[in-house]
Amino acid sequence: MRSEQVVLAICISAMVCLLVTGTYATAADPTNPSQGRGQTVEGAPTPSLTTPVPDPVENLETRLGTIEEWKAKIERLPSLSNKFNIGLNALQFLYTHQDAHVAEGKSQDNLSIRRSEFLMYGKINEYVPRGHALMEFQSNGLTANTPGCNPGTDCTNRTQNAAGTPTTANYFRETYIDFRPIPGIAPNLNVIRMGVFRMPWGIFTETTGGLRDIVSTPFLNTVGSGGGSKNSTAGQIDFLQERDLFADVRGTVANRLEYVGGIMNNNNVFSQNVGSNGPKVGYGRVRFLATDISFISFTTLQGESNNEGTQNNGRGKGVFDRYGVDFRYTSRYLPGFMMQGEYWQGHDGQNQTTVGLPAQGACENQVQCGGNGAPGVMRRTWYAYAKYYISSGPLEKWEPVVMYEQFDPNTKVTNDLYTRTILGLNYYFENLPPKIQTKLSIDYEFRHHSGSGPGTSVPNTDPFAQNIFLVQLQVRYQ
Amino acid sequence: MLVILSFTLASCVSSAQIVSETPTGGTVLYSYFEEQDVLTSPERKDALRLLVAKCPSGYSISREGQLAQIDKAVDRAWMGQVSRDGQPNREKRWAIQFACK
Repeated sequence: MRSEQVVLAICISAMVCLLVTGTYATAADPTNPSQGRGQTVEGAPTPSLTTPVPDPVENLETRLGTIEEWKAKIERLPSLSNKFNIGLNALQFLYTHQDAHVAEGKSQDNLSIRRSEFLMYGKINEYVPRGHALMEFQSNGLTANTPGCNPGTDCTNRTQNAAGTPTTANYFRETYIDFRPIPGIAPNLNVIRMGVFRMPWGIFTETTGGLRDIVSTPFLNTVGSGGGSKNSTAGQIDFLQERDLFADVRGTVANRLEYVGGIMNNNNVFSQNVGSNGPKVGYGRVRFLATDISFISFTTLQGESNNEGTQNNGRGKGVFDRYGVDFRYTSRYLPGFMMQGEYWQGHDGQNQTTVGLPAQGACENQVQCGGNGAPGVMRRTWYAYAKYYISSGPLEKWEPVVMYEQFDPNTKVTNDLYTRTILGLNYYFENLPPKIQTKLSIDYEFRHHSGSGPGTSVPNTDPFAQNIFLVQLQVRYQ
Repeated sequence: MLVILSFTLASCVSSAQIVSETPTGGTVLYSYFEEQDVLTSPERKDALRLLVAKCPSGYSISREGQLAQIDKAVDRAWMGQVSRDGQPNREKRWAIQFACK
């Protein structure tokens, strides 16, 4: 006990000594101007007051260059760009006002979270150059299954054949592995990609929501609402699903020709839970790069689809194909100007159905087979848009966008067109290192829907026939 | 047929080109993908060959460096938008300003 007291006393003494010495050392700080003339310091002479001070404007370019260089270095830090990355792919808050009539007590104004996507990705080594997982955390609902019909019953009778029940929700929007079998021949054979991801069909389908220039989803991905009709013109149609479970091979030849060839379930992301829709569907795309920022590409999908168990609206039983051409022109002569377009057409098999409604087989007798009872149908769609980013002047960082698109659900039927003209304005907030992009998008859409065939018209509740105003604020980190 | 046509077109594209030219010099441009390829890539050799062809009695390089993909301000705003294959474009451009001796 006594020895502990001695140790304690020694410790206290030592601390007091350190305190006094430290105080003295501080007091003897030669850089302190209040210490008088007794403390002289040797070293470099104090700069004369007459020495010219560099003009900060004069070397502005050099200083900006240094900052750019620093920013580039920060972005290349391994923790930010290589092994493991984590962040928001897109967080989008959306306001919409639509003229479509709604039931009493409901509003035409809507506030929502459009996307809340959490992304992780990274490079493991040369053989696995990318692993990628994206989860969506908006208020996900359950998607119904699409049942078949009980034998010998009326497929349209909901007592005998109930509509699909809520089945599955997908938080895992995307997850894939890139495997590079022979690094020595990359990028000619670059990677084998396996998983669920945005499909390489055209431009829009492959572009993440955080990088799109308009708020709405294009018609080529999804159009229409409600159930189908006997001539395949009505109801929701998912002409090209955005995501699917697939395996494909990707590469680049001579730095100017990119190719993709693969096979997929053709049942959207939900086939993880509900199974493949039918026989597999193959797809391929070649993209010719006219420059490093402008290209034209050709895509095809070939196979067979099914109506029972489908998670894609408007799919029937039978031959399934798609043919597409797309292009993008990015100008260096007029920096900030870009335009792109896509043209698609394709065949959906007999007796298409809407997800959740029972359908089974290719017959056109709805009592027997459900669905819309229509024969196979050819659909066609195209769009074109242009935008210009203003990089100087009072409108700096604003970007006007103009888009026109059209969807023909049945090329053999008249008075069934969906058309839309979009006038948009984007504003890019200051970009921050490492990779944060905040963007405000304001769009007004002039929508028109002719009808569901000759002599028909659409109700004033049809959202594809009524104009809409959208405002969206987005934060994106990647 | 389409693939053959695309391959033919792809093989016709030169990897290096003189983008501005005066009687006594100019600027040559080539593309590259990785930082370590700037000085060793075949594209640079193509660019230097163009310089030799333009200046048979020799040349001096006055300045060289990486160019913005489109424009500094546009690149910053469109971060990742000018993409291919769902990923940001990896292709970069290097410019050499030269004068003939």
